[in-house]
Amino acid sequence: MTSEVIRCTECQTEIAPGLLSCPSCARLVHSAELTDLARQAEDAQRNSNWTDALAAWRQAVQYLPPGTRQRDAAEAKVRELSGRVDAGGGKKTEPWWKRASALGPVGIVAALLGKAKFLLLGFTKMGTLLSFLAGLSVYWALWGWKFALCFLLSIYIHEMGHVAALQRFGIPATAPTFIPGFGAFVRLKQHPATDREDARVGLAGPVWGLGAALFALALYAATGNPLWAGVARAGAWLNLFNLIPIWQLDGSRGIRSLNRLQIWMLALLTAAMWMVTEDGMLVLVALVMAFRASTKRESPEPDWTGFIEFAGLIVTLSLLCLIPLPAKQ
Amino acid sequence: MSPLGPANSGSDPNATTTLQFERAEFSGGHSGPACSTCKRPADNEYHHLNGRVFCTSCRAKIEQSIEKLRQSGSLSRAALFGLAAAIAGALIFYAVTAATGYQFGLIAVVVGVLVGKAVRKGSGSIGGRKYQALAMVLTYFSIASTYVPPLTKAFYARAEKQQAAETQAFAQAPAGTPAPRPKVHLGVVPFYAFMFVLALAAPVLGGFRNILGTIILGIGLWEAWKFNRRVDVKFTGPFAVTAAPSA
Repeated sequence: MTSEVIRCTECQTEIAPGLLSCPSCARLVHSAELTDLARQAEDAQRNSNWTDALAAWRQAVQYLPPGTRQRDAAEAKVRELSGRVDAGGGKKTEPWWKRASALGPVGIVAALLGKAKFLLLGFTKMGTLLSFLAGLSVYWALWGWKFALCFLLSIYIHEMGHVAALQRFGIPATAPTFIPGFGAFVRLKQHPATDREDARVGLAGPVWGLGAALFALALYAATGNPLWAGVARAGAWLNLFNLIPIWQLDGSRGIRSLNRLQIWMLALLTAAMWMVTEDGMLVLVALVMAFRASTKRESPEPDWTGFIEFAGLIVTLSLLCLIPLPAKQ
Repeated sequence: MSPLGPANSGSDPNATTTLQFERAEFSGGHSGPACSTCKRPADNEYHHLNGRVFCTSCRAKIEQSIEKLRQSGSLSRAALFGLAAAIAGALIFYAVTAATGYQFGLIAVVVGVLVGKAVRKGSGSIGGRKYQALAMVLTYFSIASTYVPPLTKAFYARAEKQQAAETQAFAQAPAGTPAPRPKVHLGVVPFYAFMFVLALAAPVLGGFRNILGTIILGIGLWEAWKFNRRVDVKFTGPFAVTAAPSA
């Protein structure tokens, strides 16, 4: 945004920093950028690339003054495109494994390296790298370097799940920042446009975190090294903790698109999982879930995709918490 | 960056094809700069705050009312509200620990948020250094009080161990050995007061062994601080509405 006083190119009135249109003649300050963004969005839409179209309209919204027909239309476009991305639109390309397998083993390796490149993307940011090292030094002193490194990487994968979902919905955000003893966070630079978008972004972290825990479990099964059992269980526990629907935890975003009945069902499911696993964490999740079910504003319509995702996470993460911890050596 | 506004159900998603980006089309129409508060036209100059236009008179009125609010802020009321929140925060910690068996660092953040919000409410939502300091002290007291149960447990365990050792030593000692000195018993209130003082020092005394606890405590304190930042209403302007003279 402009920080200096500028004059309207048409009527010469001084435009205060932060104003999006001339208060005198209503000329839009970012007229050129808006025209360009609208063109980019139309081009992307023509290619069925809903993600890029969504990102362009999101950017356009911030240049349009509230209470204008243009802003209302751009916001409506964002909601519509967000729905398309959520329904599986995104970038209309063939799945990566199909494209890769067409090229044979070399293609598969190249595709996997491409995926690994995305996972390493966060480490190209200085803030992420330095906070990761700070976290590593703290956990290293407490638990030794092997566990510290693997545990932090599983947290990093969780955060990259959020980053992937944010990219899919075209929401600008920072790279992950680690807080020793507290996990990590990704700061959104724009609010999600719909509850479903918010829920998908929120649950993407635990879904990727679950993947990391399952990978560690597979390594344990393959190698018998108790380190991997510890990493799998600690990762599962941390992701379960993140499902508490309170404050800025992922669970709080995850229930945003659910209606009251669905949240009650999740509370009951969590209580049932507590009876199976007897993990005290589930008591907390169930209690907070029941509290939110009785206080949260009603979502206009049920979101069964979000419900199934949330329920699946509760069940699988709870079961992973049953992995016996290796004896301290 | 401004967050997206609420959904407008009347908007047509396909209307974007007919959009022009030269001039803003306000739903209520546009007839030159007008004050957001009194709606009177700002003929020669205007002021700006958070994307809205104000006339000189309304700017002065708003600034005066903020100043009045700042002067009416009550530290004692803020302290009372904050203390209640600090006690509630400590109780939440004990309840969660009892229900789950885990001691969550997150509760420190919850305490910071609770106390911070309560102090802000008590202060009349104006914030400032003294309210920030108050919120941080109360948060620290509340979080430090959660160290009392483990300290008490450790104290009793050590006392029992020491007593058992002394009893055993006395039983094995040759006749004529003087009996161990009787222990000095503190009353319940002085004992817990002592434990509380010890708990206040515990986060610092823990050193690196308690590094995670110290970081979490720091986040809790930061939350309390953040909620009581001084609320500054910073208008900009005046800005000229009339056309600038050509060079």
